[in-house]
Amino acid sequence: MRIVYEKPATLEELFSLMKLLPEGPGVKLLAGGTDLLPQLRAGRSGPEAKERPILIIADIKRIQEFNGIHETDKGLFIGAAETMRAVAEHPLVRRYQALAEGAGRMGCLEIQNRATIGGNICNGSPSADSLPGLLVYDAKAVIISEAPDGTAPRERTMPLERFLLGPGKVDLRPGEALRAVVLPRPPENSQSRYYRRTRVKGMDLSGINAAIYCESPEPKAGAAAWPAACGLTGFRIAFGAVWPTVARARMAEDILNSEPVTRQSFERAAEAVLADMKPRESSMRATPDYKRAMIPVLIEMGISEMGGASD
Amino acid sequence: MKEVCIDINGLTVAAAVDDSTTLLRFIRGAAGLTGTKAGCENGECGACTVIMDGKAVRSCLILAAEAHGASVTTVEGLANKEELHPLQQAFVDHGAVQCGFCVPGMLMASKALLDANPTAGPEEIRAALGGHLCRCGGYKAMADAVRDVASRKPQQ
Ligand SMILES: Cc1cc2nc3c(=O)[nH]c(=O)nc-3n(C[C@H](O)[C@H](O)[C@H](O)COP(=O)(O)OP(=O)(O)OC[C@H]3O[C@@H](n4cnc5c(N)ncnc54)[C@H](O)[C@@H]3O)c2cc1C
Ligand code: FES
Ligand code: FES
Repeated sequence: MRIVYEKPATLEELFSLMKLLPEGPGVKLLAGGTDLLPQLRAGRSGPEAKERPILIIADIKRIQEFNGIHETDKGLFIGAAETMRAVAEHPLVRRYQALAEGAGRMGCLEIQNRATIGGNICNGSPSADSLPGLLVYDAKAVIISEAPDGTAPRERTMPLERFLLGPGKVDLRPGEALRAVVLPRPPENSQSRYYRRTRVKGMDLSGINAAIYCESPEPKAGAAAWPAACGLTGFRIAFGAVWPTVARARMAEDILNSEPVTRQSFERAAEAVLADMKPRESSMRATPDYKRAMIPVLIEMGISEMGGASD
Repeated sequence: MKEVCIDINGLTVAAAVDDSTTLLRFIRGAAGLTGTKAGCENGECGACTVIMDGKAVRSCLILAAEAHGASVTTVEGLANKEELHPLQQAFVDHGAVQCGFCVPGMLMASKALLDANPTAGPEEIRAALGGHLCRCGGYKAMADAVRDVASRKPQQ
């Protein structure tokens, strides 16, 4: 298979490259290349490349529509080609703490300088580090494709959680690209935390990861701290490497949000996740037993850190 | 094939290379600069780290064609003729160089850090070097060397 590198300057140029599908050469989008280059080297470039004599690598980094981090009336727009480092450091992302932390803890600095948020999402890893934070903020995926009549490009928007179909699989049809994610503005009193557990302290993919989001009423002086009734509400919880995709733990959220959070309701919430989990038996990074043990720990860490516990 | 021009340590290097050639292979091949090391060629070890347009990157994960028009600094661009760069001198003074294979990558990651943050503290230094593997296990001496340079900066 011969590789041909192209760097389209505009969406029109990108779509005309992508139109070469399905006969002629295969086309693969390139953002940071931190997943794609190792995959190409290992001969794992997906069905797009199989049995094709030529694979076009279309570099999207220069195309304006995939870039930028800014507020819109629908929330915070983060272009798919923005790097994990940019996401981790951008002042507008700071209020989405679990996302900023996830981006800032993946890989290492040199990887974060290249890896993009769009690549992290589209590669479809069940423990991708940007995804738990994105899901607890109800991020939307903005998907772009050429208009049928060749005029303005077409966009469709869907909940990011539904965009994730399975390991290595996202809801992109031929001719489509992920343009951006949009995060609705969270209430002022919201906060979130990100946790990841890896085998070794240095660089490793997450064995299990989680984002916990909640809202708290106005803090009162002398208010109780977890494990007493700490007044947290509006829980949203997402786990990676617990199901085939990163996903929200809605059964646990429902339990925590239906009554004041107490040790009993916390324990039932953790049980609900354990009863529903579908971890890969063959994961190299964490055994199902380890994940079972970590699920309650991570949920409680979130509650206690955000609920003002001192320990 | 692609005609690729990259500014490496202030000199323009132009060559026609295969589209699948990595920046690492361009630096070591077309440019003939073998200070940048090829370790895992999979993004995991950090030996191939160079500074591209001001940022530390792994040259094994970048296509040469992607770097067309970019400015790259490699370990050969650190010393000023016979005079070692302060980071290189500190690595020597702290005994941070054993076999030396990881050192060009460690130096470039350290330089990118201090260029952006001349007074980086221990935590920032650990974060900058955290993705670099040293088979000889010299991590502490390297972090100490970088700290040494960082703590000198304000007085200069
Ligand atoms: C050493 C190392 C350590 C790593 N550590 C971590 C880690 O700790 N956590 C983690 O989550 N990941 C990690 N990764 C994986 C990888 O860095 C991330 O998934 C990264 O975010 C991928 O982004 P990219 O821009 O490099 O993607 P690319 O490699 O450019 O693309 C990845 C895939 O997504 C597709 N794609 C990219 N952009 C778009 C788009 N806009 N629309 C449609 N399809 C698109 C590509 O065609 C390709 O199939 C690591 C990788 C390496 C090499
Ligand atoms: S050779 Fe590039 S990271 Fe190992
Ligand atoms: S000095 Fe030998 S690998 Fe680091």
